[in-house]
Amino acid sequence: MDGSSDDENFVAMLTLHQSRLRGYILASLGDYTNSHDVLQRTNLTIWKKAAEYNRDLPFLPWAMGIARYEILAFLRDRGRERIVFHSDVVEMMIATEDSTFDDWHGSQRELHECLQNLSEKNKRLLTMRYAQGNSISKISESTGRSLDAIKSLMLRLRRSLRDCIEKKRQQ
Amino acid sequence: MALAIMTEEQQRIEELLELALTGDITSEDKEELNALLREHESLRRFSKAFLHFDAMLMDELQANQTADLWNQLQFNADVTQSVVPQTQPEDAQLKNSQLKNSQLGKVERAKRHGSYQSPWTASLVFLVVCASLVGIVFSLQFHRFTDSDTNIEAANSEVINDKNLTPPSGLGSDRSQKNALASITFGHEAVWEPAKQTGDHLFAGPLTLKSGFGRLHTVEGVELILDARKAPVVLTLDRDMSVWVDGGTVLATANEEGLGFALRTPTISVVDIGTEFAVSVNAQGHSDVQVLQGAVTCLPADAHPLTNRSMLTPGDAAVFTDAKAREGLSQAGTPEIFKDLRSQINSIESLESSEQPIAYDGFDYPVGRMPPTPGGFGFRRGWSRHELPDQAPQAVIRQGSHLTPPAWLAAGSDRYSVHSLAASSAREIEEDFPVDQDRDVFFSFLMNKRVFRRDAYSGAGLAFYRSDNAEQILGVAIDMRDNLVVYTGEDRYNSGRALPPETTYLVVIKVSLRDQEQDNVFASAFSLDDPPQVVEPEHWDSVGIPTDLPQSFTEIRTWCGFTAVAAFDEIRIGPTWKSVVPIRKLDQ
Repeated sequence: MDGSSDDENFVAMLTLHQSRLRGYILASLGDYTNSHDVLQRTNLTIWKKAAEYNRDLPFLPWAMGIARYEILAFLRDRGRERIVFHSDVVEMMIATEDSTFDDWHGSQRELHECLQNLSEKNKRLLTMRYAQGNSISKISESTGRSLDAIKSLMLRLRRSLRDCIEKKRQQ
Repeated sequence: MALAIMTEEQQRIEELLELALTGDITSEDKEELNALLREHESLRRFSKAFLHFDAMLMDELQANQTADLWNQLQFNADVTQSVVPQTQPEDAQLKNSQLKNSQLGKVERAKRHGSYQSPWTASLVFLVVCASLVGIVFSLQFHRFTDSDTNIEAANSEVINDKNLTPPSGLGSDRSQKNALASITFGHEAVWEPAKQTGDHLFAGPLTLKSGFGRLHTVEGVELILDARKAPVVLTLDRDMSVWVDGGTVLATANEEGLGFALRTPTISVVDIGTEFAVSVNAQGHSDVQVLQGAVTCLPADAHPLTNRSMLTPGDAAVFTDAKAREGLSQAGTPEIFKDLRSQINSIESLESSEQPIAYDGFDYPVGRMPPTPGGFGFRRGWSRHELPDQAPQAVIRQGSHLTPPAWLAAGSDRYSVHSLAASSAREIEEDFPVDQDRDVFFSFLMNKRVFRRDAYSGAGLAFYRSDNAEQILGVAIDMRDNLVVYTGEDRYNSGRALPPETTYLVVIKVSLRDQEQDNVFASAFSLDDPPQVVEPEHWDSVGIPTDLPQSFTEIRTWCGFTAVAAFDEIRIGPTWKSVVPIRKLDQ
């Protein structure tokens, strides 16, 4: 790769697939903090290996290969300490094929639309959980609602959003 | 996406994953989760879809929140380069995004914030990725700087337990008293009651200048010259930011923040609607008022303000003898008492030492991406991307009220720089600071940090480097918990002083270099309503002990963590406290 436009394209490609990479890593590790760390390491490695990337091949499988390597390196370094999935389960999760969100960007756009249909109150709850990183107990405390009520509301909201995406796909 | 019918096991997996993601999972739950996943491939697929969706949801909601923040800050749109996720081949998506960027004007782009056509997801990710890729080395360093409780505690105990180090004096703030209304900024043969000295903060209550000259600066930007050569100045500072004068002569000058400042006497309230006026109150409470520049409105103390106010303009002088009189008695010419006041003040203030910084940057650059062209003075070159001196800095220049210099500080333009999401910019100082000399170096800067997701990466601050060395030497930051912390080497930083968030602070740093003794780094932060003293304070908010300084440090870096946005302005470097904490003067 040479020239700034190549650099820009590469960064743009990486940007385009950030969300997907984050999903891949999260689905392999099962927790946010470790996934965030691994995503950062993955980005760094991808950047370092930019020169090795063959532009004739799709970017995502190449990037996911690096992410996979970083996940395994992370497991090796951290052992079982504070990791949700055991090592063998991580490997199983990596190997598991799931096509639900193969059309990632399409799903993302549908999710964006579905979120617009939520009430402000429910959007606020999701924001507290996903954008601000509050625990369920913290949300319960802030909203004055019981822990169980928040848990079940979160599950319901998430299900309804996925149903909404599904309906949009069938239209 | 067959969600309509969920098996019991799927429901259980969903619950367990939720617990894992929110950090509430127990060891037993974790074992159960792993056992279920190990056992059933269908559950692994289900979990994968669940977690993919979770990542997507997080991405979307974080982007929405950042978009809101972005809109609030009204950033210059040049820094955003949207890459629009579309269901098209990658190349087509990239071309599309580039085309959109080139076609959309700023206004159009601003209008589209929050709509999916202008996806904040992509913008945020773009910034994070660009910043993290190029700035990752730097980021890894400051992550250590702002990281965990454990590290901070360890660092503290390390400092405390290291018997070779002497606990520095000056740690611990005596600035627990908040809401200072003013400071004494100058005195000439001044005798105060209660006893005061230049630099002291003043709170609500009475104050008398028994003799000499004194100068106060209020936090709202009003300068008061007290002239007690002929009679004591008896005044009371009120919490509503007005000043009662029961005797003596006072010259008041208000800059724009001080508009509406009221000086009250037994007979009249003088409200500043211009710039400079003088009031003298005699033993009977009669009040002479003279306007030197601008205008004032006079309100008799015991009359209705709507129907009894009068206005004085430059050259006007009046004496108010009755608290109910609508207008004062007009005076021909300047009253004797004011005749030599201004010239006396000028000659006395000329005695005041004028200490200048050796380097200064007020970020008076064109609004937009911060240019590499040199601005200010005392630097070898313009700002650049850290460790990449040939590349433009990672910041934008904004103009507006987000970061307003405090009224008490002499400041340059209303422009300032903004760093976001793991950005850092560097600038080389013209003068070198060898560490083997006995020398104090002072730094100050204005800063306002906004965190959009509080985590280990939400710190920001100023760091010092050798230009030829990527290793950070010293640093002062408002860390992820909004503590003002001093960093003095790897894993050595203190827990500092907690600061209210999203507030503009003047951060002052003193690096005390000693050849044969221990070096120290001190830092304090002052908010708009908590002004600094005009002389170096005895106590500092945060103190660090560097143990392994290299030969010199020559570069400063402004930086911001992954999950914060920080605005910086008015960077000063100088040999003394006064050179970096300039109190605003009459004509500034």
